[in-house]
Amino acid sequence: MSDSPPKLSASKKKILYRRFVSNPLALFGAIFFLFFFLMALIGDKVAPYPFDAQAIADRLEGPSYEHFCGTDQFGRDVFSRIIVGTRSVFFLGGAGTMAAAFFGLILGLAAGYYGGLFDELAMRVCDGVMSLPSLLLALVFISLSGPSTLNLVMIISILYTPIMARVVRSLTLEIKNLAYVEAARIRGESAPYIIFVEIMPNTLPPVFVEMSMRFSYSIFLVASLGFLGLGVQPPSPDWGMQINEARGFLTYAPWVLLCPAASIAVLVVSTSLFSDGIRNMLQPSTGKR
Amino acid sequence: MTDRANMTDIGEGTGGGTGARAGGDGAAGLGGKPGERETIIRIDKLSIGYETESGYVKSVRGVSLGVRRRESFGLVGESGSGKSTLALGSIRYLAANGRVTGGSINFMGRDITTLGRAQMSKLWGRHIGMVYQNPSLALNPSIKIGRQIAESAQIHQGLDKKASFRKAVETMGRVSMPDPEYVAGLYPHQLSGGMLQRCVITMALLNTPSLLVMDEPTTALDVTTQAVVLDLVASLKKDYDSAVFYITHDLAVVARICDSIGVMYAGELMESGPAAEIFRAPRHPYTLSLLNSIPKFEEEGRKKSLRGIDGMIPSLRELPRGCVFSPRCFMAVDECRLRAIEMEETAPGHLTACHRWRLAEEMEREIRKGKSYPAPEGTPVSLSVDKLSKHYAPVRGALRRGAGKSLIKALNSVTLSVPKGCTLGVVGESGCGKTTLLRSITGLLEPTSGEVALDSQGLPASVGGRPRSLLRRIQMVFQNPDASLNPNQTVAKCIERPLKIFSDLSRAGRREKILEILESVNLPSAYYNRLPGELSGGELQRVGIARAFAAEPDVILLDEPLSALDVSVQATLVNLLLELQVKNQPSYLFISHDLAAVHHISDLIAVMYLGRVVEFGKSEAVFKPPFHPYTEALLSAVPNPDPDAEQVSVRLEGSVPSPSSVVAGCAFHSRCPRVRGPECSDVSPPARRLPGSDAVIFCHIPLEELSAVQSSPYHRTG
Repeated sequence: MSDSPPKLSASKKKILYRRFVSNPLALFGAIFFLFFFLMALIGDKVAPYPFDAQAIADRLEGPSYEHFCGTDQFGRDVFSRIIVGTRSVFFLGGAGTMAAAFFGLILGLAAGYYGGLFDELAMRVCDGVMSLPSLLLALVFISLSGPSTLNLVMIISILYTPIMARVVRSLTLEIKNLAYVEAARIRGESAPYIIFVEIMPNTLPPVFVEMSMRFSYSIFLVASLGFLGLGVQPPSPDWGMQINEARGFLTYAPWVLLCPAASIAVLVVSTSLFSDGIRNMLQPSTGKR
Repeated sequence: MTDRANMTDIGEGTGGGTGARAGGDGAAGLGGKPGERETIIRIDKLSIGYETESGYVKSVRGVSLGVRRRESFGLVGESGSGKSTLALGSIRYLAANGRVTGGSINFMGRDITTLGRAQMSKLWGRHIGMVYQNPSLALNPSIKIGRQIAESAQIHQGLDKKASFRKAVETMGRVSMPDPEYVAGLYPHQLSGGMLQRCVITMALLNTPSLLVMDEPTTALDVTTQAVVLDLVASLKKDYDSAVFYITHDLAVVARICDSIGVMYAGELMESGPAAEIFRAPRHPYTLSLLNSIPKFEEEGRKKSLRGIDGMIPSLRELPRGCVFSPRCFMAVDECRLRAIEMEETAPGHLTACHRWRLAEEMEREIRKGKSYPAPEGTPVSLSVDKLSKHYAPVRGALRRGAGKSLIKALNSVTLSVPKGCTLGVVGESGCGKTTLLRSITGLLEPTSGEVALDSQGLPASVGGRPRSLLRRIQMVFQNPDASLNPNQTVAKCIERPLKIFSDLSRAGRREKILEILESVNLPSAYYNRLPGELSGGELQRVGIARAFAAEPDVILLDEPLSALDVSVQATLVNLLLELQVKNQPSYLFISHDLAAVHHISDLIAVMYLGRVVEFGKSEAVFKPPFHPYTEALLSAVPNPDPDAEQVSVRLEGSVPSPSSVVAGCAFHSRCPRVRGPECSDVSPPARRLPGSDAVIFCHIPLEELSAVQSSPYHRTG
């Protein structure tokens, strides 16, 4: 029985907006996320010092008005290095997740729509990748191929493509049996038309949700690789690398380590909150409310 | 029992309901007038609201009614009428965001309007039984039936494990469950829907509740199963001494089992009173329109437009001023839109929320005059299927069941044909193969053997093998309007696609054509750029129909296009389908489990059972004796909204067998009430032609014998 009064589209946007705003955690996450995003864009312009300006006389100074987060072992401003380092985190994580979403979409749509042997093969490969610890896989890959930006983006997309593909495949399996897809088949539409026009647009909201979640995971991964020296190479600033370098003087200059560590924590948490907010907004039934 | 000290006596003049007095709390007749039974539940000016993310919604407003012991009260309404909210709200069983905002509820002499959850919880289990729409969701799949039912007696009657189990088995026997002891040891997935619903009813009855709330208990069931469950419900109030609160959208069901009814619309009660009285003399324009929207089994009304109600139920956020029904009412005057409408007593116990009720019946009769859409005579055959079969190999595998089983015969040598411009209705219960038939005709499924032909030209078996010119000629309208349109495509895009593929119209030409098609399905041109999410179910189905007609097909396959819609909307769609057929002359293949609807719009009818056609012929011949015994059972299972009609009751035992069980003889023999002997199970039944018509009945029993024992399913006694 379904003749309920129709929902109006003008108010639909309003409802989405209200859903998001009514969730204080999501709003909090969004504010921090956007702050970091802004830093990724213009960090090098607004940083109080150049990220590589050394001042040996001022090394390992505590936080002060001149240096919010103190200075490191070369007298470089930690705060500036954090701000400038935001870009690599966003770029690597962002590009990696987007690539994963792209390949995941293609793979998931094809596997779900065609099924059969291709589906079976693709899914087993995905299972294989997902069953390996991601950091281990990343370490092996980077140590074999070298720590270039392209390789970092590649390993992130290799790690996250299977998850995306699984999400898209299960949606495709569901959608391909819906009446509007059958209607298209009865009209004699081609497979690419059905896949890209009838099915794909309806898989996108969950893909966006998954992307925002994967992005927050990728920040961890990039930081871990940086810590192990396989991330962005010096002298470019990188949070993980900063933490690694600061290990030696943790006892007498803890700010050099704590500030980038806190940045990672705040960015990961705010991205998670933000992505939860997006999920609740787009798929209110699946999120806890 | 309840706390006697809390008993409040509600006198007369509180308005509404069946006018009963709140009586004493013991045997019937204590308290109220002699001979009157005590009121189990009385609600007075009850209002219920929900807190939603788009604001506060008043779902039920100022409803008063009462249900007495051994009375069944049917609450009828279309979707969004607030009937479930009212019934659940009256026992304070609302979702977390729902709240009683006004009025009072008196249950067995005790005011429960503000009772806490803990206290309500005791009442629910002990004195109130609940039966839900979907029995398979109401039972835990991992607990055996017997244990699950017994649990309630353990908690609320303090019985031990053994005693509660005995009690469960005993109660199962009382709801005429075959072999209760055996069934108690089964898991829910081992039972059919009808049996499951019987288990849920047993569970609800276990603590001999004073009130039984049933929320659409038969909606998910097949007609023949529904008939059995309804018989059970009807017998309950006699055996169990409880009051029944029955919620449904189906007026015919209410006519069959309820003593009193309340008709709800947009959260308000429109009319209430004794069922017989309301069906015989409805006073409210809404009830009148609704009753006349239902297709009836009458030869004279066939292929005529139905009443229907234009427009749709108002949004609860923007309720009209005055009478809520006034925007859709055929007799509304300015006064209706200005002042609030009070319930008026039109006959003893019969209340109507309309101040012009005296005029309603006559005005309705004026409007009702249906337009007739007769079928063309002597047109050549358009679509035909010849000995069409579809067999599936059972899924094999070490852990999967079905290994070693024989083929699943979803479709077994089906031969049918439809003349041009005519409608063939295919009826049968779920699992009879009607959907497989449609999918085989479209070519989405490749039949195992047999042929589909258009204008006597055989079609390639699969969609992929058919050229565009052939694809254009067969179009389909789907069952679920929500899934039949892509949520990301506008109405225009959806209708444009077939135009783009099958016609050589320019962009501007297509635009004009879309507007023309929208108009022909009675949708405003403003819908051009709307998305499906902004449309109601009925409107979505109109777009679905528009899309099918856009290709200008010769055959339209209608896959239960009405079953997901409300009665008043169904009627307007039936009218639309009839009108479009006369205008464009396509043949329809109409599939439905709703016999009345099939009878109403079909020229030919095929009755299917277990992948085979058991009877096929002209409508007037198929629905008249002699019937195939299955057709007879189907017809007698359909509830009739006419309370004066006396229905022959033929009930089927058991459930539809699996299509994989090998049946050499008649598919129906295992459930046939007229089964004769070994020939039925061993020999394929002969095709018996009805003299003087093309109708065929596949049965071993000679037609003369069938005619002698069968009678028309409805006798009018009034």
